[in-house]
Amino acid sequence: MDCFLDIWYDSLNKSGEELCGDKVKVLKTEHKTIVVLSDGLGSGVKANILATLTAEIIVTMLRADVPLKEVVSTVIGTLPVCKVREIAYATFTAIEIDHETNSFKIFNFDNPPTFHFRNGRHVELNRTSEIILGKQISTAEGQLERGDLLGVVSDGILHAGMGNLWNFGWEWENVAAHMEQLLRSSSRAKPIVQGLVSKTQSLYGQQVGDDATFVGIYARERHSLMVFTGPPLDRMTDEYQAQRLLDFEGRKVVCGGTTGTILESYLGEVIDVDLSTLRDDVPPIGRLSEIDLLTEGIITMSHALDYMRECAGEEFRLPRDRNGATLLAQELLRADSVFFLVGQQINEFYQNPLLPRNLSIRKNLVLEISQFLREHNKEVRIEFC
Amino acid sequence: MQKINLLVCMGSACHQKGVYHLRTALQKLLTDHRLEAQVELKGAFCLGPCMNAIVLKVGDQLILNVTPENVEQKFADDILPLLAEVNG
Repeated sequence: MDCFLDIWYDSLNKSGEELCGDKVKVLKTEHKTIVVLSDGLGSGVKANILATLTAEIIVTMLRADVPLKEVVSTVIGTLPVCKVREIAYATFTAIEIDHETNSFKIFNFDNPPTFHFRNGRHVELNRTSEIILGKQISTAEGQLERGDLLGVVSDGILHAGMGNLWNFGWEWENVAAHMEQLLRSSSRAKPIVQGLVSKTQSLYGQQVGDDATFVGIYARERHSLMVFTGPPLDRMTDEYQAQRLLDFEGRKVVCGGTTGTILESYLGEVIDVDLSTLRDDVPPIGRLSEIDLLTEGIITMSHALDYMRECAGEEFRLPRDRNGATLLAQELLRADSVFFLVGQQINEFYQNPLLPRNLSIRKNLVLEISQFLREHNKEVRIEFC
Repeated sequence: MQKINLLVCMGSACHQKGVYHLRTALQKLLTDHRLEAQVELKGAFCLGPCMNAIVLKVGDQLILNVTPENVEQKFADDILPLLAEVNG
């Protein structure tokens, strides 16, 4: 089943520390997703460096397709051991998820067990334990179904409330129960993780006793979006590309006057321009059946990119105004994966040297938007035509 | 009687040339000439000849190179006769 892995993490620093001693690394390649949470011994700079080093080694080796087990043994073999405490300097959980099958493998060295939720309920993972280089590693395998959530935690989450509210913190079972509540309220990883971490913070009260991190990996329905912008080089392919847009499974957006008229004639309709969305700096949107959003091209896209940058990718911080650019930004930010179909026919008008440079090339604009979206954890595919 | 559509291009080029202000000016001219009852001012997606922005359209006739500056002249010289023609 096609799932999107919606991943979000959040950390609390131990009170008084500028740096977090927990480190999360997420890497998505074409075939797999890798998530590592490393918890460095102690807190502050030393813990941060150790956790970063550990997470970085694991991600780098997994990226190079070294088998997870080999990676784990390399890291355990390399990790220094604290002379005073006789324990390793960093613990870690490494998860690898195959995109084809949604099967996952977890290797856990001394972190709390990973949570697994299915249909909103906590379910036990099938854990086995292995000895690698004399260290006990807990492993688990399984397959993600749509709606599943894996929760990776550092021990700082479980210890919240220790010594004041409870003798031993709110502990693993209660974290699981609270997660079940949060899962009922949202279908996105971010609000769930933020909810869990803010609960942790409130349980700690004034004094956060330990670095605390929660990573949520939510396998949920993919929100797909296709953006068709610019007329194709070869006019003979106009209809073919228009049909591809109509066949796309997901939201459909057209950015461009000429591109709009291609769809207009293909659908045999007349674009209904919504003049209430006309702004001094943004042209109005139009309406066509089957198309979720139809805007002018370059000016609107350029403003949408500005809006997305100004709000740092947070949809709720977009300007309240309803115009082509805010609506486009909203579509882009709501999507998990975006497919840009970019026509490269040159409009003579844009060869005018008096125009601002960023208005002159559609391709650059799409590349800039794509880069922004990728930086915000979205999958982006671009095809030129 | 059906209203005549006066289409104003809202494409990129026309936008750059100030269609936002042109629209207000056109609306005012229609009011001044008491044509509101007969003429509907409508937006259109790219009407084609971007090099001659701003582009207007009445029936199947295009009116080219209209700007907020020359709109009154264009209205008297080109737009009014076309509207009368279509109406007649």
